[in-house]
Amino acid sequence: MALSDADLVARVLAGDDRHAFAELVRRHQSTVRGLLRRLTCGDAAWADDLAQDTFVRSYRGLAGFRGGARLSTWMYRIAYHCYLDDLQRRRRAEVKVDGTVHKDMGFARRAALQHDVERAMGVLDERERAVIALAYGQDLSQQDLADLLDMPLGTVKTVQARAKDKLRVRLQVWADGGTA
Amino acid sequence: MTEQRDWLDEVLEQTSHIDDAGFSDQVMAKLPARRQRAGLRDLVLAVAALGGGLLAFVVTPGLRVLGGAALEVVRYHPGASIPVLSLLLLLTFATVSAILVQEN
Repeated sequence: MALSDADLVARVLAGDDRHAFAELVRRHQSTVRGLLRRLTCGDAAWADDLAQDTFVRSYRGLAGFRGGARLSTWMYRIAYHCYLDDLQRRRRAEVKVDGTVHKDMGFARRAALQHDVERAMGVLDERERAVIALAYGQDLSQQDLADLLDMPLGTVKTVQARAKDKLRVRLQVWADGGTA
Repeated sequence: MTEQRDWLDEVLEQTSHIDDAGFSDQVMAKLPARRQRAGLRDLVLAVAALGGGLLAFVVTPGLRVLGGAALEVVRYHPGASIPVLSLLLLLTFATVSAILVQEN
């Protein structure tokens, strides 16, 4: 039987079990990288750098993880803060962040959809992008989202509605399943 | 705002699994060096135990009593000396092995 996240965390904390931590990385890498790709508007290289930083920070701070929350939610918070920290660094270095899109796009429809969604995130401001990236595909409730982003629940809903209005225009081609 | 789900919600919910493709290995290579606290703790305990034992021998007549007992066993019960020495060796070997296994 596969060990739970809590069991793996306990092993890492008790004996610095690297195999247990590697298993945690394997379990969560896809969702963490997916979240960061949306936050970075599809810049896969940047997202993966941030994802690595996220897991290293998670390892260092694992003792601070409270078992009451899900490990994935705790990691999303770290990932989001890694993104914000790096964004600030880039802004200080005057690197323009404008939704650079990675070119490694497959031919499958699903890949095209992912590509379009990630690129469309570029039309959103930082707050809207964070809300949308965390609200979809991460299995978080709106209250989780509000806690994670330190925003009132009402603000989250308003920001999400505004962001969706912008994305609805940008992603109109997918309204009929992308056949237009 | 409306809570009704529309095509955009469906589009945004679409997430593809991202293959690991060596990502986990890269993360593991970036982790800080293994913590040494357990090894250091074992060393401190071993040194403290050895020091305490030596102190006990010096302060109490332990060495004299143990030496006398060993001589008596060898002198009056020569047949028992081999099992007793074997047991002592076995205990020493087991202790050293346990420490080495824990450190690894």
